[in-house]
Amino acid sequence: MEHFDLSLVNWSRAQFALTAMYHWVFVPLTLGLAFIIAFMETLYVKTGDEEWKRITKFWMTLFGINFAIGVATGIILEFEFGTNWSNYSWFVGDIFGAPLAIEGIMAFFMESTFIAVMFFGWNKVSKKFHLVSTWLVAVGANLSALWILVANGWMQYPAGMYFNPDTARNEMHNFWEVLFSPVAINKFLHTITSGYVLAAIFVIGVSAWYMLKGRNILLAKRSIIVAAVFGLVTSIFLALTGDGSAYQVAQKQPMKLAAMEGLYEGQEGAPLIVVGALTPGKQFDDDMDPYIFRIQIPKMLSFLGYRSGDAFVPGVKDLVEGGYTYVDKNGVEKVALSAEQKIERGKIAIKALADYTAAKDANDTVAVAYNRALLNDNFEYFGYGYLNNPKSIIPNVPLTFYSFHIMVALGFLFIGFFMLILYLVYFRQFKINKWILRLSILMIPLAYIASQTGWIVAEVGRQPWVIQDILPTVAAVSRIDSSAVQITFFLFFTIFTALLIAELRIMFKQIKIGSKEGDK
Amino acid sequence: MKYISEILWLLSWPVLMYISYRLSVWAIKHWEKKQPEENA
Ligand code: HEM
Repeated sequence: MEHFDLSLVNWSRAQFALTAMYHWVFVPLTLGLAFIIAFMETLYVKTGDEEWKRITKFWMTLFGINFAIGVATGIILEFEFGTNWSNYSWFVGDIFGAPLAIEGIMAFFMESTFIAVMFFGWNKVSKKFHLVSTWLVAVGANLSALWILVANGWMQYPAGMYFNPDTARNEMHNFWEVLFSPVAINKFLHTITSGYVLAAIFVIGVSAWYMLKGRNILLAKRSIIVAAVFGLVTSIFLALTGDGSAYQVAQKQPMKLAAMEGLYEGQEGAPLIVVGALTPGKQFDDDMDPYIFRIQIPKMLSFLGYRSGDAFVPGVKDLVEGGYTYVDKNGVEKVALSAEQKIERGKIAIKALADYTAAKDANDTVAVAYNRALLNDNFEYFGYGYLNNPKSIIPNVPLTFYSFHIMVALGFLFIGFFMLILYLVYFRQFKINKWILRLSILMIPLAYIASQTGWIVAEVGRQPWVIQDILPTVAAVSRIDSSAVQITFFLFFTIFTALLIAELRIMFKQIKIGSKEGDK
Repeated sequence: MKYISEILWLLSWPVLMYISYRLSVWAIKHWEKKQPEENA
């Protein structure tokens, strides 16, 4: 068995997580703000009211700053697939490459063309053409997110591919199956909607600041109305798509679901934890109570995960030890293998691949056929062959559990927040208490926290896999010197932090300037 | 068709955008009617 340098794997993961999280600081705002701007500009074109134009331009500037840094960090992220995860890129280039290339074309041709019109074309093109450009930027930004999320969805649920033993690569046999994978579609909808909610909160928060300062009042009021309506509609949809994602996780990544809920022992009619704390140091095979305390809804987890209140939800222990019955994707009832058995079968698959290649070189047709069949029989567990310890299939349970519960709690808080704002607008004639305005500003960091914890659930919860059941993280990493990755980690950390500080300063400055213009 | 439910689910996105847009326009108009003096 090949030896894996754990420090290299950990540093590579840290570096990727760092880049991805910084990238995700900038992206969600652009996804949602683009539509809010498009709504506002449509109101301008329809009413001819110059104030709408000014409002549109103000938010557009903030959009532009975010967009630029989002692109810069995104490019670094894409490079890291090649520099730090070259084994992964080789293994999946065929599948991952296509959506990524489409994204590149979408982002660069569609968005950058129309973004230029959006920023610089105000007095150069007709009002209608400008409006169409703004809408196309919004649609384009979201569509380019579709492709990267399709790629991510495929890693969580590798559909539409087959493994070609001759090239030792995964190849796509059905593009539509990759694109219309239920995991990918749910992920896309949940992710973009999270951007809409975040942008709505951002717009309300900045507008609340203006109201506190007593400046730019009309801009603030109009922006609050558009954002609160957009926020309420999309936050309800966010909860719906979150439910859809949780259902997909239950079907395709049961270990992630168990970690999200801190469920160690599986049960029929499993409850959903609303609020709870996990016992520190809990192992899957000890007798400690997993929770210090919990408030739960009986049978809800079974219902959400399997659409039946009495369904069995496997816990961490069941998934490691196997032995429970489940229905596979073809509708056949099966007894689950233990992690140890899966590891054994994975090792058979890896060896069969090596023997197949050797037999092909030696022109031994019998051995070729035999090993190919053996590989096919065991390919389902291929990735397990890189693991040695059954425990290594367990992700970081506390991190996944707390992240999931923070995200969901904030999701419901946001729905309540938008309702409150709309109530104050319509039933209290915009008489918003100072404390509520301050609270609205505080909501901005909370939206970013919800958004980041979402990705932590999705990505930490699926460890140890880069591609579910097929390629573990340890085998995906580039074999480079771990000290080189350490150096670039700190280098990127410094650059990204500087970028973030610069962005915040420019944003604050623009917000202040905006307020001055609006004082007249 | 094989992917019908996924396609329909995906189409909920433009529908969601359309509904949000119509509702925000309606909300603005409704508010302006209630507060004519502020928007003069
Ligand atoms: C309201 C209840 C919510 C539920 C039930 C929910 C559910 C989920 C689930 C199950 C995942 C993991 C999906 C996977 O691993 O494939 C997830 C991921 C995510 N969530 Fe949520 N979520 C909710 C609210 C929110 C909120 C309020 C935000 C941010 C504003 C958010 C942002 C994200 C993001 C960015 C991801 C990662 C991308 C993805 O996998 O879709 N979620 N959510």
